[in-house]
Amino acid sequence: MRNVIFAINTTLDGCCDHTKFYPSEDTFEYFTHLMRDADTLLYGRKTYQLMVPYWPDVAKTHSEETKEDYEFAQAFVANKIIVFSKSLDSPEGKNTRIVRTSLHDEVLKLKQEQGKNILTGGVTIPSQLAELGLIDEYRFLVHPIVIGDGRRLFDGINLKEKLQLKLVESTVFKSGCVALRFLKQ
Amino acid sequence: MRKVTFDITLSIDGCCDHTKLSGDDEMFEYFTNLFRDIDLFVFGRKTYQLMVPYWPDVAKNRSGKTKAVNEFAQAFDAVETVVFSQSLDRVEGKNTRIVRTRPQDEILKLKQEQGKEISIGGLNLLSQLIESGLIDEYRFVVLPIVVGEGRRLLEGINLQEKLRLRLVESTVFKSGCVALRYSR
Repeated sequence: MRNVIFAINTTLDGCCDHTKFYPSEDTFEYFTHLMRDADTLLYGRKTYQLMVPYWPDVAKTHSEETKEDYEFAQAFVANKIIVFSKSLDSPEGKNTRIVRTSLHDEVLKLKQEQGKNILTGGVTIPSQLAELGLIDEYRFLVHPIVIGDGRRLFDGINLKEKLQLKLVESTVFKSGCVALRFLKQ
Repeated sequence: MRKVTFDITLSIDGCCDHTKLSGDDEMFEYFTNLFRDIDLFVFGRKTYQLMVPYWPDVAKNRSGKTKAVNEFAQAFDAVETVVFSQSLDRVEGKNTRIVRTRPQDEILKLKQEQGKEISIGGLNLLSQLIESGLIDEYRFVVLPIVVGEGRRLLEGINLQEKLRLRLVESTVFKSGCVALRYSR
């Protein structure tokens, strides 16, 4: 079975809204590795539209961006994308499929296929996947900032019981960001 | 000027409701060590009533499950407390006083007095003080758990400006708790 990894940048107050803060450059490499170890991305509409066409454009043009941005963009576009959405008509990018049926069935099927990791991000879809017990690994990159605004990590999650995780790694970046890696127990 | 800290335990999803969280010995030891440098707690009413008379009772009866819990209770009980409340008439604990003025004014006054560190606890106080610039250090102990309910850190707060902090220390406990210390 393939692993589903939920990785996200967040702030000290759990803000995951990337329009409110920009992750420090030194965390790009961390995400680039995650992207390279995956071959499928699972997003909801909002996260998809935040990432596409932005990153495919960076991968294509590569003009004013830093090396870290460009490498992340390259790793990003090498993945297939699956978007869970009822309202999206057609995907912008290539390698992208819109799914309207059950998240549970689709992800179980994906997990059983051969391949690299499945990576998810955002708020709604990861919350639903966590509720379903389908996330094997969590990577939270906690940035040293308090936003006091925006959508929060696991907003609206509805757990039958608390989700006890196992910390397996913590990494401190120069910027003061701390990456915490947890496994499902 | 005395150092003012904000100290709290929370879950990965920012839940600070201590009726939903539980700590381990290492966490209690961490806070016991912090308490050695603290000679004043500042709480809101809710946090005060969550802590008192619970911890003084544990300290008196040595009724904690482990040595670490009892030592925590004793270290807690040895510190003076200020409670900000409009509704509280009297306090049970010794070394405790109720203050009804604005927290900003009182903390500024206390900061200028001689003494050890002042530790603030509670979500309402944090919300009232975070933009005041009076808090020098934030110490979060993050438990490896997603609670999915309960009151969260800085819920419903709209900051005028983002608050950028500096990570000073991160400590990992055997239980998977992570203690993060930030300065302003």
